[in-house]
Amino acid sequence: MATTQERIEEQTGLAAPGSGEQHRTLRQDVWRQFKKHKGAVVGLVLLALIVFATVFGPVIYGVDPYAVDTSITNQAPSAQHPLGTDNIGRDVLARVLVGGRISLAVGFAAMLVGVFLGTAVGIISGFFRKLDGPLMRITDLFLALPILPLLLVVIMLFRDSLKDAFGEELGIFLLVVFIIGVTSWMQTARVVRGDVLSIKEEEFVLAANSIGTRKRNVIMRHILPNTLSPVMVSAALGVAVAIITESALSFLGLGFPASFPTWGRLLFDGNNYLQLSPMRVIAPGVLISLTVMSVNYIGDGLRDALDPKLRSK
Amino acid sequence: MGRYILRRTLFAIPTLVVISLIIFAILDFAPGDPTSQLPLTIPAEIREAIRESLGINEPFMVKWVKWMQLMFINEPLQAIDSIFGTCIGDCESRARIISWSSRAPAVDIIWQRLPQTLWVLGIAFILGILIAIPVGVISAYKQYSAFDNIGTFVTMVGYSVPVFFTGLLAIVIFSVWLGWFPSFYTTTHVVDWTSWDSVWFQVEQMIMPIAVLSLFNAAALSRFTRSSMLDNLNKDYVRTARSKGLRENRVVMTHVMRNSLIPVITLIALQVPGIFAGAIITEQIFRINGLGQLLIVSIGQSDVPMVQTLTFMFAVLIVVFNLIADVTYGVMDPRIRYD
Repeated sequence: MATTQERIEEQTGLAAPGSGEQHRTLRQDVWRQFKKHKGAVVGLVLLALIVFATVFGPVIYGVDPYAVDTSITNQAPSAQHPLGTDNIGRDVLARVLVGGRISLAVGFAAMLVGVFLGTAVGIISGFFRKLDGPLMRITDLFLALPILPLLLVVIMLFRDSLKDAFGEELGIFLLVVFIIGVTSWMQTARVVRGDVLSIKEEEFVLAANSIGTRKRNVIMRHILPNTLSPVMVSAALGVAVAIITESALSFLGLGFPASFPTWGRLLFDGNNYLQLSPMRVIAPGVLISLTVMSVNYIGDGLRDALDPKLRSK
Repeated sequence: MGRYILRRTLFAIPTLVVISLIIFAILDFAPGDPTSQLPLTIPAEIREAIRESLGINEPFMVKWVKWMQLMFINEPLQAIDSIFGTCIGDCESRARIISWSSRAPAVDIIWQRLPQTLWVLGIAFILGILIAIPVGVISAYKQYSAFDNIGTFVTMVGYSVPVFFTGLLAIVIFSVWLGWFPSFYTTTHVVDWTSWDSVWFQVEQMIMPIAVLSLFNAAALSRFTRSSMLDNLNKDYVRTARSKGLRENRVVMTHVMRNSLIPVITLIALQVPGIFAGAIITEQIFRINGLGQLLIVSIGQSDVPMVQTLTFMFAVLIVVFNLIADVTYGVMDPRIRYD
């Protein structure tokens, strides 16, 4: 049985006086609501585990993912090679762990590019009325572009020139991050613009303007912090989209080169050995799916936690 | 209403023109040469003559305008002629967009590949909708029930697991381990509707690609349906409907569903182009020689006209279905029209 006080707290979302919990900051409030979303908490733990495994796993596991040993090709999982070996005798587990580093790095980097662009476009078009029309037309235009075909074409065409400029691995990394980022900012921009349009009319912005705050400071101090919740949600979802896009590109053979194992590339290479060693497909596939799923759950949890209507429940 | 549709349609045209410019520019400014695939023994001057005959050395704007003329005037005329058997203008010697690698009109090749793509995609799309809407509606109505919890989890899985992995997993399980279905699609198979075996062969090879694609389509759609239903279930008009004594069935099926499905129908229209993009991957997994596979092969061969035509067709699909989504939204929700 809940005490009356607890019931009041539950219903009002406010701590009753004298309950020892006099004041909660917004951050604590959001965290408290986030913790209620079971999927989001599981997702957060899972994502932390995956990140840990890919960052420190290769060091702990200590098997060279590039070591070729033709005497042990296409082995089934065993104590020595927990996920078996591939067609030239490389350890699959070691490759999957190392591959995760690049997949995750691409995911986070492309998300940062996309979220940065989206927030910038959203704030500028929401704040400056003159730029609103043109910027929103550009956003609509980007939304109407056939993204996947264009990504494929751009990678195919520009891969070689970037390879010459930055080296094979950095070149393709920059290209993939750049194009995924540049083609995934539109939703963020739209949501942020909508938020800015309403925040702009709030009294605290009027107050800031009336004491002569510079426009730049109004944006940085008053508007930007208030658009943070949609930005965080789209950041979470952006990571998921970027990881899927990268692995789809690699899967189509138009992403990272064979010497550079990402999860998508491992799937692509394992594709032809499905019958011989299914683990080569299942291991990276499960990891992609788990990562994307945990990121999506975190996004869901964040959306609920950052929604004041839901939080007050 | 007419003015609303007209305004939307007129806006789609400049969008298409700008998109065609972007697609054209990306392909044109890119390094890459159709003669690079030819044998090295061809002397340089002949190579230059080949480039000349393909029209590569002309200025950018000239090439773009010429291409626009082919794409927006000649190809539609050709399509009208071949459908109705008419002959508008110089139908015998009309310039067409010619694929560099196969030397045949690009649109004709696309036309040959279209049925394979449409069969699999179309069925997967419809099946996805048929699964998603009931699941979404029931999930929302019985929020937090066992059905909702399982349904939400399954849709989250379907939404998060990429198509290329579900596809490969399906092949591992159903083709390799169980041996139920063939792991690739035989497009040369002509369905003989009088023979049960022939029909069954077609069904068997279509099951896996369709299942994989429709799971993915259904996942996003049913999540959306559920949240749209939840938004409406607590509205005042629902309480009014209940309190005036309407049967629950009626309240949910007519009042709530009608309002909740408006954004869902828009999403369905918006999903169509995305499904074609999904086909690029599905066709690669199951080795279906449809449009997606054609695009991948053409990119590999630097077949610029083919890639331009295909990419532009994807763009047309997106713009057209955005238009359809806007118009249906306007028809169903009068408030939108006066925006």
